[in-house]
Amino acid sequence: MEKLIAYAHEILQGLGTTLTLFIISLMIGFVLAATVASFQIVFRGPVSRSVWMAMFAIRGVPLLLILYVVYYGFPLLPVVRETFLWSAFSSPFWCSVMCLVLVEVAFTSEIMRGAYYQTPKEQVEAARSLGLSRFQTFRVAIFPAMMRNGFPAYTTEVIMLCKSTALAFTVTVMDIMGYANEIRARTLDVYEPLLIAGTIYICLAILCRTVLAKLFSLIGLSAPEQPRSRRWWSLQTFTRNREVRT
Amino acid sequence: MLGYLAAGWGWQFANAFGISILAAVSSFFFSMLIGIGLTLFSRAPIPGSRAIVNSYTYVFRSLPDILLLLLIFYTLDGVFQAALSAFSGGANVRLSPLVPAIMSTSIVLGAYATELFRAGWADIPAGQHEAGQALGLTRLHSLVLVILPQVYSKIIPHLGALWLISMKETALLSIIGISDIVRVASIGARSTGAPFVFYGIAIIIFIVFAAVSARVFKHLERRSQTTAGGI
Repeated sequence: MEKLIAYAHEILQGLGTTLTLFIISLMIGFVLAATVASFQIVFRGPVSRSVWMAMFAIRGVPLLLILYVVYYGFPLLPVVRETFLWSAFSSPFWCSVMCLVLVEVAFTSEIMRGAYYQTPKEQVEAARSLGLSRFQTFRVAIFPAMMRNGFPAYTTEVIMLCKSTALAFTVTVMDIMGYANEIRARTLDVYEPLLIAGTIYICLAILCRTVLAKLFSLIGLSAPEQPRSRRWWSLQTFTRNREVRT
Repeated sequence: MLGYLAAGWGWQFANAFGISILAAVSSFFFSMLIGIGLTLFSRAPIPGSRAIVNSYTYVFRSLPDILLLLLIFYTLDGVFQAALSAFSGGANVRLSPLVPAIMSTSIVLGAYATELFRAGWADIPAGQHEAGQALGLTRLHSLVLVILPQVYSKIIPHLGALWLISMKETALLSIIGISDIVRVASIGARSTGAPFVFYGIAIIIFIVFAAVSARVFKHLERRSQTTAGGI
């Protein structure tokens, strides 16, 4: 038992790394994915088609391989080695962030695009015929529907990202998995460190799901009337006033 | 690139691709079995079966795959040797590392497959089962001939995604020392000093594979729509 507590203590040192890795990649990934998805939606044609193909390609390649290329391959390029880029590429942490962001963008942009195209056409036409501008239409008719349709898939994707951060230990990042693997190699105890790490990851996933579900109900796309002060943002007010809620 | 491929690396990559495909196909197959089996189990009138299946899918959809792989890889061999020496007095049989690899991937993918099958199953009206029985089919026959084709045509797009994931999962095999595509690529990169050629080949293999799979599943999807259930 004392051994378990000592292991847990050591493994928890990696919690900070795992969390920063996860949250930084999630944030940057979300913003970039929104950019990529809106680019693909606004500009249709060969350019956005090639963006789609690039994203498809990234989705087909394992994260581990991308990590190896970025961490072991890129430093051999003179461009990377002799310029400011080296400060980013020499750190395994930032290499992992780059790879996770890349993969996250590829998956999330597709979820956003799918959610956009799932919006019923009539809903958009109804909003347009009410005399709303394109942006207002997006805000009133498309965005709420996107949230509703895309949320389950996005939750899965967030959990996937949380799981994927564990791969960073293959490029010497000392996250939860890194510490667990280090203990395993040092003490030859297999069960204890790995099961502790697994428990931590499951707790993280439970936390993610709870937070996302809370967020979903807080945005309140289907929530009943709430006092004004509890509204998260104006979306709900807007949809109610215009009665475009479905 | 062609020079390296001709100098023996081509054969290495072909071999590695075979191993990856073998692992991907078998874990996909086992995950389908797990998915169907657990869906039936969760729908059976057994108290607590739903809770068991729910916690299985919850746990293994949150656990990092690499963690499960290491856990199974480092424990299975010991268990296997202990069992072997208990029964036959220590025959010199080694377990291929592919076994734990396929096991862990199947368990993880099985969790996704179970969710998928349960979602597909939920839409099928109970009358379909009764119709099968009215035709005099046994339970197994009505499962295979009536229910599964309908589930299949509902979940076929997601099956494509699952298949791609199972191929990507094989990259993890390199961590436990199986010479799959990623391992051959990194060995080649290290020993020849031309990392981009070798990683490039590996990336191209995966992308081509993904593109071909997407085509095939698109075709299967279209076919299952036109024939209403794939029969």
